[in-house]
Amino acid sequence: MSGELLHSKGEEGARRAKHWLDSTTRANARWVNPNPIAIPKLTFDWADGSKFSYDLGGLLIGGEFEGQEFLVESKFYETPGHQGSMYVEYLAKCYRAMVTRRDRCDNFMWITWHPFSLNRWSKLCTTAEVRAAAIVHHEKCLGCSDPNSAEDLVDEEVCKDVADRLWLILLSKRQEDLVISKKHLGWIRDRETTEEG
Amino acid sequence: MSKSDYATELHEALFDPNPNSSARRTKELVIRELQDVDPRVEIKNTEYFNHTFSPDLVLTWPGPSKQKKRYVFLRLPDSPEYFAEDVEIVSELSPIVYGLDGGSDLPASLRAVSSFSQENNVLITDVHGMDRLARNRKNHNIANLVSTALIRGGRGVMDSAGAESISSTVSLGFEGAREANAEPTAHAVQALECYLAPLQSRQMTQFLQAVWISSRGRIEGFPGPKELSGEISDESLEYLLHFEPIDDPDFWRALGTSVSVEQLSRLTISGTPENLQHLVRENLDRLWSRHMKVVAGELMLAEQPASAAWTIARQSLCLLGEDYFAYFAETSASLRHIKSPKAYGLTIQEIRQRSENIHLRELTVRKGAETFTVEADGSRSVLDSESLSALPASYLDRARAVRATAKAPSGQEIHCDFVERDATAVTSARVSLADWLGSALPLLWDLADSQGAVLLQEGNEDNRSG
Repeated sequence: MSGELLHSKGEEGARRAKHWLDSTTRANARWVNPNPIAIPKLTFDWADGSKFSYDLGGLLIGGEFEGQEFLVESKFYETPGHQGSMYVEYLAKCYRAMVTRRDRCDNFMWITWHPFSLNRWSKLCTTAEVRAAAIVHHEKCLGCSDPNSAEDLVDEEVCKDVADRLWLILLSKRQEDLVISKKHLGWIRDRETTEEG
Repeated sequence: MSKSDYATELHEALFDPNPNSSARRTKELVIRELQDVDPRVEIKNTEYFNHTFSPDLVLTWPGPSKQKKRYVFLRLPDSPEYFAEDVEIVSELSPIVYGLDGGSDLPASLRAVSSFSQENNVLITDVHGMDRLARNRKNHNIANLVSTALIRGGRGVMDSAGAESISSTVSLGFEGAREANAEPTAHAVQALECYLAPLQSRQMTQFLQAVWISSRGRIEGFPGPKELSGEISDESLEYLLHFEPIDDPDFWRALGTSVSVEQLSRLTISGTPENLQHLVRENLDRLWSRHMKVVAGELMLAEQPASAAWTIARQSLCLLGEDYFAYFAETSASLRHIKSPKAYGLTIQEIRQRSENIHLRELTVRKGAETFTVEADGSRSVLDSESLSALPASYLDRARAVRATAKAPSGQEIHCDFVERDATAVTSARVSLADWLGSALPLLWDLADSQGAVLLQEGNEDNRSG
């Protein structure tokens, strides 16, 4: 069972993240956990055979992102909570997803309603952070039980590729309202859905 | 495709672990299902899937219907609260919200949004509800009309039980209307009002009313809105035209206010159904077109009609004569695909014979490579003009009339081309069928005496004003 099934707060966060992403007009958040149809599309394998899943996923629209996939971890928090350690695990998940399903890994997004790890905030999307996360979670991420040999197993290229695809998005409830108006959204929708081809 | 086939295929498509192929397969299946229910629908597959604000599919229908389009939003199963919220977000668009749960029927909890969706003309359905509607299509009964009306303007929660309920209620109502039996007809009218948006409800009720009247039921006794005008859907009209003959001029006259040549041209009609003859003949002064083309041809019907008969052929309203087909259309483009060999034009004697009761204002004649145009003097026909009389008889004997401008019985002018055998309204005027039959057709084609008389009678005398 997906961990999200146990957390209605998590469900609300995933749903809010979907609405906000969709309302940017640049994203189509198609799959939302814990929907049973969405779960297989958002689930990946750890090296030890266990599984992990993202909260939502879909496709970006338009411009340089057209058709790119995205995978999202959302945290609808009012405090930092344990986001610091969760974020490290998320980076390890991204590393593992990149190794096993590179075709699905165009963009990784962490969407939160509360900042965390403020001392490291500017470094959270760096190659070094990804590398460190992979080593911390070496058993699941790299499939090795020895932390010393994990250092040698981490693929620097993969860490860089993950870092290049990371988005760290800080939302607020007010910001969720500051999106394109219904009227303008209608114009775009009409244009997009009635154009030929 | 059977119910289980659709549900099984949808389930497999939804649980395809590849997100892109899962979305693609799911949408393709829903498109097929919608087309099974309504073969006329044109469906645009958008790039979206389960998007909060943008539809997965856009449905449109051919013809200038008052309803331009309907959006379809596919929705993955969610909690009833979230589902209701999703419906509310898009409700102002009056769309179809299609619940994607391949396993079970729409949950009973969705009843909570039932009244809301009815108020906002939102149709909430799923594979089972749609499957029930698709099966109506295969049964070729009155429920067909219900299915297409629901796709276009259905509202409320339409699971398989709901679809079954409205289909059977309206079918019983149809049987009731055939016997002018008020009770089942009234139930059907109520069901239509409940499950259809006002436009589609009115169209379907109008159809029931037509059946009621055809069964010698009095209009005053019809248990619903008593209205014989307003748009009638293509499907209802097709059904009505193939229905048992309705020998009631007032009925066809009233129905004629909401029918056009363009709409008739879109219909699929086999043979020359009697009701089509009634409809056109009772509205010769109302039905209009801007173009007409005559093509030589023999009738290939199993049963030869006594006089010229109306049909729909080659996407046009067509009059079948003994040895010609006359096509009518609102735009010249609509007749472009109808080809015929060019004629030589008419001798002056031929045109005199054909235009005995028709005023010609202008005539273009050709002899060899030379053409010239003669205009009428005052109110006299061009054939009696001094300019034409001044030409030597030897010249006129060998000249051919290639074009003429004729004045129709109503006064409307029509350009006739004797080489192409077609005719066009001068300027952008609307020319009634009565005018075409009373002027252009006799000029373009040498009508047999009896047939010509019938047509002229129809065109000139058989219509009442208003």
